[in-house]
Amino acid sequence: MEMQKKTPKPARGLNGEHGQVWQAYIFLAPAFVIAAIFFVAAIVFALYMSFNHVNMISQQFEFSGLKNYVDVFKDDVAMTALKNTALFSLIVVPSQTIIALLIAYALSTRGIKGKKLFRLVYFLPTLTSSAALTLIFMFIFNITGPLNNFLISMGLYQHPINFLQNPAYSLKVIMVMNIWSTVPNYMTVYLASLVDLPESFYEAAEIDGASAWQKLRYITVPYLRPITTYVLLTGIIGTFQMFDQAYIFSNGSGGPDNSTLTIALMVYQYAFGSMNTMGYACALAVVLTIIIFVVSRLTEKLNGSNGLR
Amino acid sequence: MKSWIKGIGVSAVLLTSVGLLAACGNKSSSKQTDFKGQTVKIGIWYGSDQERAGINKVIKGFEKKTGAKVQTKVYTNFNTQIQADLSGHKAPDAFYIDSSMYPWFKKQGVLAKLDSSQMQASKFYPNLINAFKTKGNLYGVPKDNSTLGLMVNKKIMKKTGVKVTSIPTSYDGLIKWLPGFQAKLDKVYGKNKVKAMTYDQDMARNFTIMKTDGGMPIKTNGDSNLASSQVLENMKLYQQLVKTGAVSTAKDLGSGDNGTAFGTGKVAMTEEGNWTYQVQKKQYKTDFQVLPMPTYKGARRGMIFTVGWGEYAGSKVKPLANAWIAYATSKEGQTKWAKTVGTMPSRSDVAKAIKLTDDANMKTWLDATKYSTVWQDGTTAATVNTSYQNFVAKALDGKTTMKAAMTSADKQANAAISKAN
Repeated sequence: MEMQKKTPKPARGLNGEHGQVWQAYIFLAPAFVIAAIFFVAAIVFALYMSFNHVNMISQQFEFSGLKNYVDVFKDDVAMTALKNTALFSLIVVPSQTIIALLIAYALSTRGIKGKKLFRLVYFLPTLTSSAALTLIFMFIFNITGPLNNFLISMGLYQHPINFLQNPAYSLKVIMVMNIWSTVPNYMTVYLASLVDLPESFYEAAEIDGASAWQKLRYITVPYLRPITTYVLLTGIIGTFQMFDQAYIFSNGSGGPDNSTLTIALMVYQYAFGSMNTMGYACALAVVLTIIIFVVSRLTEKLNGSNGLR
Repeated sequence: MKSWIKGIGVSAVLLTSVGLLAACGNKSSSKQTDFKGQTVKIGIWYGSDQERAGINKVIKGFEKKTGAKVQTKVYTNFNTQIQADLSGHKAPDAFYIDSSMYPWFKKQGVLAKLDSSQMQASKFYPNLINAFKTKGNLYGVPKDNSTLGLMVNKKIMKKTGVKVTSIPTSYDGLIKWLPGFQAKLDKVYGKNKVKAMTYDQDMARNFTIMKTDGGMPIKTNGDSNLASSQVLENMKLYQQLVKTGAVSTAKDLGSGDNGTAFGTGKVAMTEEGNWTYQVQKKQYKTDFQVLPMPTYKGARRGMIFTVGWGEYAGSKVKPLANAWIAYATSKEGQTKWAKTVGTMPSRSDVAKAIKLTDDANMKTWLDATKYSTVWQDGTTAATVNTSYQNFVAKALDGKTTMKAAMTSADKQANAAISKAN
């Protein structure tokens, strides 16, 4: 009886304890509805389609079991696309992370003049749309373009290299382009965190006689570990989903010689090409999702972070 | 069981009534001219600013005549976006169909049958209107057409001291002549600053060459057949052209398309269509002359591209959509369109009316209609073309044989085609 007296009766209506919970749900509702329709329902529908032979236009769904998935693993082209995508990610993600970290470290060092100007200039590539960026790079790298002219005038080689149509180069050009355009974004993320790094850490290290490299290695990098996890994860997801640059580069064909074919481009080709293969496209997309999930988890573990807490 | 029978009965009644209604609609539509208060939605794309101006003129004419309103839906990536609209049953009442995509649209069952007499089908150039017919029935009406010609930049020719009349009229002649011409260009403009000529790595352009002497890049069942011996024989032409070192794709020159490369003076000659005519004149102010396409194996060969109006089978305003298509492709509608845009009309009476042949350049393009091939080859042409574009560069670069490249292209295209069945 005494206990009951002590605890106040929960107030009714929207102001009570229960009411506050309900209020929270009401505020969450719009976002929840949007997520339910555009994410959850879309994913469930894609899963459903991946087990069917689909004709979107006549809305015919014909159950085909695991056939689409079996086809993915039997398809040489899908394996090529997967190989390209993995290679792309393997080179781009570490490069963009390391370069972004180094630039951010340099820009956060005290005593550098014109810091703000550098930050602005370095950030500019991120503001460029990737479509425009691709065209600019295609101009720079084309057979009579500035890069070839420059390298020839330096006397490095005699005949211009066909960077765009030579399968040995085309994916690498896209890699350079992607690194160049994503580094500034990650650099900013790193900078934001470095601003919070107490200067006393560095001062203490200096007293102990640490070099700039040692400060970076033993203070900055460990301090930024959670941020690095974020950068790596978004980098992996972004590179595995690379589509627009490959699409513009190859006019949607994934060429030359399948060298710029990524999984996302292949999904597009099968989903919106002039064939009724939406089911196969969905199966590819599901496989891509699983791969991204596994790779992301592995990276997170390797980076020694317990997730983004 | 009972409800099942009932279902059939109900749908039978519904079908008959819909059929009757549609029949009524068709009958009245050829006469009906007053559509006050109704709206027809049309799905289009803009190839240039001129096309925007052109369609607006046609729309104004139609609205004045019928009292109906025309709503445009402009697509930026037509083949992708129209599929989404068709899946959602929200497609416009009438929309553009490229001749190469017509077989695909027809197969999907999304096109309404059109009345040949209402559309004045007999007035059109037969090769163009036949591209939109299946088993004698009409499902689309060509709004215009374009052909290819060899465009020559007169200013560049003058500067290099080469006469336009000295340009060979056959590919064989060109292959021998191009290296010398390139040397002159290099001397005047600097090495490789201006290329002699562009070529295309696109089946839509290479198709007519591929088909020469019975070449069959696509089998009748739709399978890719690029590595067949006659196609390979014909592909030698492009290998020889590339070998001259004087030709390049527009992309290699850092331009999006041939017209841009030509207009910006990066290339002296280009095989391009009449759609670039107004752009060259107004935007780039290029001084050019159009020559007929070079001959290959003794005959001139080129491509015809035609886009037609199709009607959505699920349209709720079919009589109005019919009236729109009939008007847009009529003598009056096409005259407005062709005059503004610079494409060629798909009917001879319009070509005469707008005095197209008075312009020597346009006449060259118009004459090409006689020797050119319509870009259309079944429902798999787009898939085969994607695969072709993917692999052809490697062979033209000399990295591999044409046979190996085309075999890979066939394999990839056919794997995709088999998944669709």
